[in-house]
Amino acid sequence: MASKCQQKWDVRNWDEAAYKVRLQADREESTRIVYAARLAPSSDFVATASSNGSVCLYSVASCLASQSMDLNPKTAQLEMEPFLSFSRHDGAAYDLQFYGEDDDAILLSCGDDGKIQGWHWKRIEQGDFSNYSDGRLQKPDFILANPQQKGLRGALAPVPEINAIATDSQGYVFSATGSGHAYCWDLEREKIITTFEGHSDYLHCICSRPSQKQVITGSEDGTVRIWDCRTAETIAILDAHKAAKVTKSPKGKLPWVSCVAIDSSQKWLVCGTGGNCLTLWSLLSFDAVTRICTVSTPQAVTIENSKIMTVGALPYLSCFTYNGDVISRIRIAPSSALSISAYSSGVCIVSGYGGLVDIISEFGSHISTFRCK
Amino acid sequence: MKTPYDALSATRSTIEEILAKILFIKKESRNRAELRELFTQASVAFLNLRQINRVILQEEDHVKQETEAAKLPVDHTTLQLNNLLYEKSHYLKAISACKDFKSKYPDIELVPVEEFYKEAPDEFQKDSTLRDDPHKEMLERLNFELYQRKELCKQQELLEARKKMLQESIAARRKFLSSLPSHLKTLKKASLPVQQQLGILHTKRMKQHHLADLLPPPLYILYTQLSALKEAFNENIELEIIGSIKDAQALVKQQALKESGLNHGGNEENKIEEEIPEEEEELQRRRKRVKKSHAKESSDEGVYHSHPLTVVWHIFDEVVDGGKRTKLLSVRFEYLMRLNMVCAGVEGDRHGPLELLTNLFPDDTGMELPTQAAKLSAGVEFQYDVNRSCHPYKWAQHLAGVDFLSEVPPLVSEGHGPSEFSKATSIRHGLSAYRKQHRVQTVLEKLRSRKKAHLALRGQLDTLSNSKLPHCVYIEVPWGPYKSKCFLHSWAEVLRTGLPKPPASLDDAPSLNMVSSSAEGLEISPVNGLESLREDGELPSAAMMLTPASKVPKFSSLMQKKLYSVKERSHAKRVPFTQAKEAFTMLNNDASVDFKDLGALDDDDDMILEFAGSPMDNTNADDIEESTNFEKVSAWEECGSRTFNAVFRGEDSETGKIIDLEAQVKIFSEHPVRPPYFELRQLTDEVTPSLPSPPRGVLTVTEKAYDMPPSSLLAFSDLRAMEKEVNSGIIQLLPTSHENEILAQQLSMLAMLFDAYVDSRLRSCDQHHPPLSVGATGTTNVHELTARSIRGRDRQMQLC
Repeated sequence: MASKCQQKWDVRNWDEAAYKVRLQADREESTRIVYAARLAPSSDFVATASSNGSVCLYSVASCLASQSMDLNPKTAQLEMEPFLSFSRHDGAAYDLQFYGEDDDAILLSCGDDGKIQGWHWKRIEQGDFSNYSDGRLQKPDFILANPQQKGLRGALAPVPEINAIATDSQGYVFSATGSGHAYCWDLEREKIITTFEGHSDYLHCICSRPSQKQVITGSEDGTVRIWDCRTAETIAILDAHKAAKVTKSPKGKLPWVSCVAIDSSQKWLVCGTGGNCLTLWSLLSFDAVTRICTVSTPQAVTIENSKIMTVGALPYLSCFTYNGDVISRIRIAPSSALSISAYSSGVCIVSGYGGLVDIISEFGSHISTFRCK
Repeated sequence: MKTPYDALSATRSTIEEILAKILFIKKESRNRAELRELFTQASVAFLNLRQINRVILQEEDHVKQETEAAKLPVDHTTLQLNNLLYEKSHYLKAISACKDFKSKYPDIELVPVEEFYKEAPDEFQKDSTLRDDPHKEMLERLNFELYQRKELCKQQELLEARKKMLQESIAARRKFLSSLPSHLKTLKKASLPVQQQLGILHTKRMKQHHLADLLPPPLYILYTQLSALKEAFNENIELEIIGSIKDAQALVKQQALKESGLNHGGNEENKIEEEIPEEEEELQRRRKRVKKSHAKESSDEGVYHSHPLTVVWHIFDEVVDGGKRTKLLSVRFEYLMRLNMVCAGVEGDRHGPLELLTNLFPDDTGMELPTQAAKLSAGVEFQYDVNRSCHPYKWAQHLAGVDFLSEVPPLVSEGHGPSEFSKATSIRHGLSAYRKQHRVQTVLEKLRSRKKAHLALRGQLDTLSNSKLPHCVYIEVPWGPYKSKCFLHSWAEVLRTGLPKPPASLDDAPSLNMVSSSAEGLEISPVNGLESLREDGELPSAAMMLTPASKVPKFSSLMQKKLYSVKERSHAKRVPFTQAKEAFTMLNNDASVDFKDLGALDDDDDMILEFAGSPMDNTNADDIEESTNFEKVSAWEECGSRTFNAVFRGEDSETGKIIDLEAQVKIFSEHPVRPPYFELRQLTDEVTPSLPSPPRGVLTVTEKAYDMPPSSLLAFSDLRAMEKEVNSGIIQLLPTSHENEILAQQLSMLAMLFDAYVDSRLRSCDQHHPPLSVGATGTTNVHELTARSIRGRDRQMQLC
């Protein structure tokens, strides 16, 4: 492919078909969406999951090295070749999580093909890429496939996608799937141990609350459900639209819940809905506390250091206090961001449309902005 | 007898004896008497001595006399001897001279003896004495030889006369021959109408071939290769060489003079002049107009000095139906001598040569000089004049073989030196590569498909300017049989200044509002506008009435200005990079000055963004900026591209509310290989999923920090997903045989997608619209039964 790109196109040895293929590839590249970008445990790499199904590692150091002095995020978009590409998902790769600490860390990715792919970080770090050397992408260490639901007359429904994954420290991985079910996987046995069933539409997001052995899901049906991991029962149903706790799923359709996040004390929950607002809940009483209007549909949210940070369909990263006051609004590179991950150091990584990944410092300056290739 | 000498010596010795005795006596002084004796003896001796001396002298005289007498006869005899010796040598000389005398006869190539006896008359043969006497024999032989030779001389004379006669006849015939061409010419002239009638253009072709010899090497290669293609593959193309023959010949002359000195040049000149047929004059008269325009062009600058001859390539459609061929286009090739490059332009189409030929192959705008050598010779600051009808495309250079001809000086003479030979081989290698690469076929195919695509595109654009969706022939695509609910509301071209042409009806779109703020620099297309109005079945006033008045204040005048300036600035940024290109389609200079000034006013992007308070505006600005970035990176792709502004209008069947979708369609010069690029934006937001206010008292609701944007029915990701489908997804679905109607296909695909998305999004927000809830329950059930329509993190529509 690389040689083709460098080929000189003129009337000598003209190959129209190849040229068309290249144009197509260029166009598709310009519409790539990076659904998730997270810092690897060793912090030297950013892992991304993007709409063409690829899971890639980018070296932060080389990013910084080749970063131009032009700090304007609109012009300073350097294209980065991935440091390492993993095997692709069929369809988009929607989420990416690191599970575990340091050496035992596992890189998990999920996608439209309803599979969770896992790689042991240790192997990646040690450069054990026997499969990679012969030109092929590295195969995952394990694959967890979503079960298919039985539809009418026993026919299998299409494979539901996995929109989000969450981890807790006890060897469990939670996946939010397109069938409206959330699953708890035991990584050691590679089996589903719990199925959380109750949402009436597909799930957008999931996050775990390990302290209470709970898992929280947000769905297209407009509700947030809090589940007990052990019994697989619903503890609470939160109507994000009405900002109230309800006893059963409301009738009619509500703006979808696009993202959920809890804070480090695991007492506060924030969820973003399609109706351009964020709602902050107290997990102690399951009461809505604050409703924050956002400039656009929130597509990712996180709480770090008592700040609610959100990104949406506009190129802004907004920070709010728990009271809903705006702390800052930072312009970011992607015109629509689909992922935000904040770290205790204050660094936060957003990614989204156009294949753009923007690494932002605590003070709102752009550490590095690059376009995934 | 005693000789006097003996007597003399005896006397002398006697004297000596006496003297010795005297001396002895004197010394002893003894007997003086003896002395006397002695004296007398001595005196007698002396007398004797004198006598003897006298005898001797007398004898001597006597001998001398005798010798004298003997000397005379000796002298006489010596003289005689000398005379004889001289005579002898004279005779010897004469003899040797005679001996040395050479006769002529040994040099004469005589007939050999045997032959002589064979051929000579019988009298000699019988004469036996002849054989014995070689001298006589020789004489006879010589005689015979003489006779023979005389005979031959006679024969020669005869032949000479014959030769003369023949020469005379040849001269007469040559005379006739020289007068023949004029006869033939008249014959040819007479045959022209017949040729015309029968469609055999033999004469013309011959003329063209003759002209081809005068072409510079690049054009010659071009010409020969194109004609070879025509002959070999029976392609439907025609070639023509036009221009002033005289100038070309003068040029050849000049070149010849330069190359091989005066004499040679003179000869060539004569030859060439001879070759000018009279009828060419007539042809030239016909071409006068062409020539004049040429002269104008070539005189303006030395760099653009082109060869007087140009090659015109007429390309016809491949399909011959009923013998009638439809002409697609004519491409003119000219050769710039100073820059050693070939320029190509579309004949007779002064408006859009760029559009048709630009980027025939990637990164080939025709704006830059193709070779480094040309760049050097033209100078650093040289910019190719965009207004020239011909441009130095790279493919034209490749077609003319400039890439391998470059080392060869123009007009290679027919020399046979080693350097010429190596040149010839290099050209041969170049040509074989040339043929292997199928350059001519490729270019022909590309030009044909390009022109056809253009024609197809023009047809589509014509339909579109009437605000109708063009008809798609190929319906094997998902949207083929689909009857769209939405319709094309308006279609207008966005000029290079960044302003759209005034559309049919006034819209509340901000980009369209800008029109009012600077309507001076616009090319107005009222015809299209009116027609589109009629198509809509609305009167202009009605259309204006229909647009809700409440929408207008939403975009304050300040904002309009700002937005306008943002847009302008983004284009102004481009100006330094692509000034040449801009100028090409620039309608008037005023417009460009205007927006440059505007561009200078605003430098800080962010400032503008903050001022333009509504985030909705920001998106617009971003879109524009993104496109600007795109252009900066790859400007050649933009060259010759046109941008259109399309507005689709969908209607919510239940409420009758209107949803407008604006699409910026950029059609590239590489169309359809590079399909049109769509950028989408939703304009109106009458149907928005709004939140009912939450119960009071339960919750603290933050005030809106900003003016809430009119949250649109179609989310950002929806628009992007549609863009993706339309821009790149379509390519795989459409077979290459139908790629010319790609714009039509894209538009109908967009219409279908728009309908689908609007339907889906309306349905998804219907449920919490109380007035709609009655009908909505039904749809909900249906929704649950059918497969999921959306999926994934960004809620993508599931398209089948």
